[in-house]
Amino acid sequence: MAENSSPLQSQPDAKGEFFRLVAEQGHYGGRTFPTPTRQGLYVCTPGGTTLGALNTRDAGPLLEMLRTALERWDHLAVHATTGAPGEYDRFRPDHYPHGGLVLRAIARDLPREVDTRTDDWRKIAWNLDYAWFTREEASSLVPDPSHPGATSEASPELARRLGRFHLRDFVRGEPAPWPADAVREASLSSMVTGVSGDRITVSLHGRIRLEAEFRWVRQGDGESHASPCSFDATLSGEAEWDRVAGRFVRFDLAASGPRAGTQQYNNRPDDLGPAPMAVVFELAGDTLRDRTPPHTVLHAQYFGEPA
Amino acid sequence: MVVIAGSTHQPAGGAPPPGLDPERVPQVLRVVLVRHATAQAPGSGVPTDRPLTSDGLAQADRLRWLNLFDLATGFYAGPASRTIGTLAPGASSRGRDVMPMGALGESASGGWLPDDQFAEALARYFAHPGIVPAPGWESGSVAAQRFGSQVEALRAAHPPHVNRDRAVPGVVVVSTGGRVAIAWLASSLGWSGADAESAWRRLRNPDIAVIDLPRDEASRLIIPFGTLET
Repeated sequence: MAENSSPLQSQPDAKGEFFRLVAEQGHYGGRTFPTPTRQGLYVCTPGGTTLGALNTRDAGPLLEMLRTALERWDHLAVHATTGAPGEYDRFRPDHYPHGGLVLRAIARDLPREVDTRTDDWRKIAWNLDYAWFTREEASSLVPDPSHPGATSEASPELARRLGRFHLRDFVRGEPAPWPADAVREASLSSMVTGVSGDRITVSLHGRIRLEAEFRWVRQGDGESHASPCSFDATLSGEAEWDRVAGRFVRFDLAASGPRAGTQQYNNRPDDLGPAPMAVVFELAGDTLRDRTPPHTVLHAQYFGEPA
Repeated sequence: MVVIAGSTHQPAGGAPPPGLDPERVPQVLRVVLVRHATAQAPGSGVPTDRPLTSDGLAQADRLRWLNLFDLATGFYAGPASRTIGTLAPGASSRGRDVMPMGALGESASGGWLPDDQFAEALARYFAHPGIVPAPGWESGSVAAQRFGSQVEALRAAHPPHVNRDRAVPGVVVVSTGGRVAIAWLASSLGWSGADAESAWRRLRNPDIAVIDLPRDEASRLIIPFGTLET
C-alpha cells in the first residue's frame, strides 16, 4: 500500500498509531533532525512487527530488504496476529470524488538541447500523483449543447486546482502547492470534435502560468533560502464524455513547458532551469491503488479557497 | 505480510545535500528494553540464576528476526543467564556480543517467597519505592537509580547515527527483569505506584518496550510493553 507518511506521523487514529508503531521500528525510528520524517518503505506483519525498512530509490537495496523481510516473515509469521482488524474510526474524512473525475498524474522532464543534469537517477526521474475533481467540475468541460464546434470553459475551480496543486514540479520530489497568488493565468477550454451515440469527444486546450518565490529555512543548519519558481504550461489533450453515465470514459491531457527554480523538498537545487517539463493526466481506474489521494489533498484549499 | 511505501522526498542517491550541522544534532539515546524470555519458574530448589526453558530459548531465537534490533550498536543485559540468553541470538546474528552488567540486573528479592507474600512485597515495591519492601529486597527507587545510571553511562558509547541527510538516536538493547524495568520506567515517566504495579502484572515473557532518552529533556515512551508480537 502507498501512504502519505507526513499526516500519519501525528494522525490521532488507529491508522496513524499503526503507522507510527511500524515506523518506530524502522530506519528513521526516533528521528527528529533535521526533520521528523518517517518516509520510506516498510514491510511488517499485520500486527505491526516491522520486518524490514529503508528509504531508497535504488532497486538493489530495496530487493535486499524485501528478501530479508521475507526470511523474517518465515520465522515470525506463525506468531503474527491473525485476527481481523477492529472498527476504524477515521480521523480524516474521505474526500474521494465518487462519480467525479479521478486522474493519474505523471511528471517527468522533457528532452533538452543542452543537458547538464548529473547522469544518475535525476536524469531519468519521474513521479506519480492523483488529481481529484467533482462530477460537477468535470462536466464544466462538456459544452452544452454538444454539437461539433461547440466550446466550453473549465470551471475556475477546476483550472485553479489543476494549476496550484497538480502543475507542481514533483518530478524528483515533493514540492509545496503553489500559493494562490502564483496563478498568473489559468485557462482550460474544450471543443466538441465529434459526437457518436452517447459519446462526445472534446479537444482540450489551455495555458496555466505559475510564478512564485519559495522561501524556507533548512533545518539542518538554520540557513534561509529562496528560489524564484515558475512553470509556464501549455495544455493540450482529448477526452471522451459518456452522456448516459455522466462521466469521462477517456481523458488525456498534457501540460508541458519550461519550469524553473527549486523548493526545499523537490531535489532541484542543481537544476534551476528554465528547462522543459511535462505533467500528463489520464483517467485512473477504481482499484484501491487508484484511489490513493492526491499528495496535497490535505491542504486546506485543495477543494476551494475561502470565499 | 504488509508492504507500506511512504512518500520519499529525501535524497537517496547522488550528491549529498549540504548543511547538516553536527552541533545541532539532538543527543538522544534509544533504549529497546527487553523483559527476558520464559525462564524456569522460581521456587523451592530452583537455582537463583534461573535458565531459559525450551520455550524461552525459542522465544529468544524469534527475537533475533526483529527489525527493531537492526540499528542497535550495543546489546546489554543483567548478569542472569535468562537475560543474557534472551538477547544472545539477536546479538550474535548481528556480529555482536551481549555485554552483561551487574547494574542492569533484576531487583534483588531475597529469595523465593510464597505467592501471597510476594504479591504484598511487590505492591510495596511499586507503591513505596523509597522503602525496602521486604527483607532482602532492593527498594524500587534504588533499583531505578542504579539501572538508570548505568543506562545513562551507555550514552557516550552510543551517540546518534548521523549521515549526510539525517540523524537518528543511538540505539541499545537492554534485557533485564520485569521489576527493575518497570521501576525504571515508572521513575523516568512519572508513573504512579498503581500504574507501575499494573504494568508489571501485564508483562509477558519476553516483552519489549522502546524509550527515547533525550539529553536534558523528559524521556519519551515510544512503544509500551505489551504492544509488539513477541
